[in-house]
Amino acid sequence: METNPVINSEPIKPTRKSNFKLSRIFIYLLLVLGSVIMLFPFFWLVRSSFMGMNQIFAFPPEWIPKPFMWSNYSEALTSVPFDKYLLNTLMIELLVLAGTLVSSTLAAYSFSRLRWKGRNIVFMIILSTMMLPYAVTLIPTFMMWKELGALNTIVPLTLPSWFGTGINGVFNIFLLRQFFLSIPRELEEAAYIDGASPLTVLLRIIIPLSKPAFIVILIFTFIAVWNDFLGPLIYLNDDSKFTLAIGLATFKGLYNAQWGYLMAASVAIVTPIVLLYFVAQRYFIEGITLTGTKG
Amino acid sequence: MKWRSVKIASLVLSIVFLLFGCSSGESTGSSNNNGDQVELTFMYWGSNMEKQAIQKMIDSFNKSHPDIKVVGQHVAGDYNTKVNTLMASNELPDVAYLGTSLAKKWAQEGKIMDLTDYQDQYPALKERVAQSYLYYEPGKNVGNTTASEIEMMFYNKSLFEEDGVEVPPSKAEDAWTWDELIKTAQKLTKDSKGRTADESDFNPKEIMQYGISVPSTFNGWLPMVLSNGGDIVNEEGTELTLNTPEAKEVFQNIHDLIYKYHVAPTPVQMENMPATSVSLQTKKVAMAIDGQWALLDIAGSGVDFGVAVLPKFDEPKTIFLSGASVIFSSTEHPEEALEFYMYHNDPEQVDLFETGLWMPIQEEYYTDEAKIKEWTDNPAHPEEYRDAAINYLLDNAVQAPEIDIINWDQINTELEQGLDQYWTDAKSLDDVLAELEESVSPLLEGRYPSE
Repeated sequence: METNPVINSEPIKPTRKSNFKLSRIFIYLLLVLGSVIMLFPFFWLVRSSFMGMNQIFAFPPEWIPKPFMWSNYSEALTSVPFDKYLLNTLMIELLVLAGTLVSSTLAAYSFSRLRWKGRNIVFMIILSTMMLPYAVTLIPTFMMWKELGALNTIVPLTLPSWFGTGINGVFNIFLLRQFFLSIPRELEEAAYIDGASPLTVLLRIIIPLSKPAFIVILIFTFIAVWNDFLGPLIYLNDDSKFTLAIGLATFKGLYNAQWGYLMAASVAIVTPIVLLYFVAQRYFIEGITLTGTKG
Repeated sequence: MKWRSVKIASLVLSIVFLLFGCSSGESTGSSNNNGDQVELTFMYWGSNMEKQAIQKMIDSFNKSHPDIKVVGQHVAGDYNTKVNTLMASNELPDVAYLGTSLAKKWAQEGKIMDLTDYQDQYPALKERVAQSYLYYEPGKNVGNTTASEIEMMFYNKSLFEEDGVEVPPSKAEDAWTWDELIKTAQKLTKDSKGRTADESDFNPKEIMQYGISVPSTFNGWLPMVLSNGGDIVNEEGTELTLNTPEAKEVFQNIHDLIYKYHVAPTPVQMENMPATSVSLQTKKVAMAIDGQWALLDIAGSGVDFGVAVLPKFDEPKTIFLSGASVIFSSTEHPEEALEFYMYHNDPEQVDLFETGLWMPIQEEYYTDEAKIKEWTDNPAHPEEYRDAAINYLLDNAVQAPEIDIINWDQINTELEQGLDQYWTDAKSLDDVLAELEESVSPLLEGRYPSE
């Protein structure tokens, strides 16, 4: 009786281990293959950004720039006033991020924790605005800003985020609401017993517990603003107010493109986003899994 | 604790007010007109280089016209989305670039100024190249195209010299026949082992250098169809006439260039090729059919190039195409807008003519010897340019369909989608033309008048 399990278990163990190892190798191979495929366009972008026109289109394709054309960067970044565009973009980012945090937190808190008449109906209506394509609301919104005298300013690009709309606005409210719902009610009940007001509960309990969700929102919104092309294109007229996305488009003409410059400028503009991802990656993944499983 | 939330709330409010504060300050600043100075906006598209040239022109205009202040608005990327939004919300600029098709459509709706009323005031409005006039109703035009452009041929001279092949002709009367084109292109098409396309062991799967590239859009085939006596639509513009022997012969011949003689790249290969200037410079093609505007980049690339007229079937023909410059009827200052309109594409004021991007629309720059020299006496314009571009435009250029066929933008989308199936060898010509007959016919609403 005693020997049987021993005899049985001994030969099983090593095979399991080797199976385990084999599958690991296989998984890693698969992952490496996947990441090569995913990273290839990015590699191509970086490679082309150091090449002259002749080399970019050489056939068979060449992998290593020869010579390294650093001048692509210096010329691309000076032929268009990217420093000014960067400042403009950062200004918009700052206002939008601040507005988004304030407005979507308050809205999400109200939709998840406070009880009021018609709450769910209002929430449904707000969610339904997500279904409207941008193109449908573009012209009416534009006319509204025109009446308010806000054309050619950054107001149409930033103010909506203070009211829970604008870039990613409704999505952020939704995401935060789901996250808040996952926080146990018992925590705040304790605070209420100690005499806290709803706002104190939000500031002292809900917000500190929701860091991952806030970071997800910040990253999403930051990227969306960074890449927004249509908004600045429509609302801004003065060169001095343009954003990076618009600056990038000037390298692509109607009939041709200065590929080397375009690639160099793209690398320069994409780099902050990539860095941001690496810095915030931990929270980012945490935030997604939390909101994903407990929503 | 309550105190704290009040603090936060007031901080939030003050940020919002700050935001509003600085922005409303800005908006009052920009709409501030001092005294009797008239402010105009001019909206345009173009590369960075064009933008600098246009801004220079605007600056010198503002300097010489102290009572007018023109503000240039350069639109990068999606021009049509922007201009459509502005149109829908009645926020249009005073003067602007516009696609010719859209310009005529909006002119019929009364949104663009009819410039024929001003011909007595500005006699120069009458002295322009015939093809550049944009008539939307008989006797009424919105003015002219911004510049003149035609389809022509560019070639890499050194490749012809190396192989001892005769370069393409620059005079329209000497234009190559299609057979001459094929023969020359064969000698200049080479595989990876240096064999040319007319050799028996030529390997069409490893072509390193093509003899010629032809755009798959109407820019490539329409000049040939016209040369062969055909057209896209009939005289009245009510019937598609691509299913005629004249047009079909041209389509078949261009198709043969790609798939029978292997001297031209397929559309898929074309997609992966750089702009004409780089293709010529890197010896991917020996000859290229492209718009005159390509001259700017070709001359800039430093390649030893030449210009030539297109091959012909019967009569030598090319097409005239360009964007329009218009004044919107919503402008509050038509007189000042006209003043700027006359100035904005004057070769004396803009250097885009010398660099090769534009050809003038002012007739005197084609007839007056001294004036011709002003814009062509430079390295960007080779010796044979006089015949291959200037005379070619005057004698052989016909308005492109975007200028004279109503509804062109939609028609062209259908044509390109349909014909692409033939250029990629996915469908037979007859099938494609039969399908086009069905999809294009409902879109045909005639032609715009030509005077």
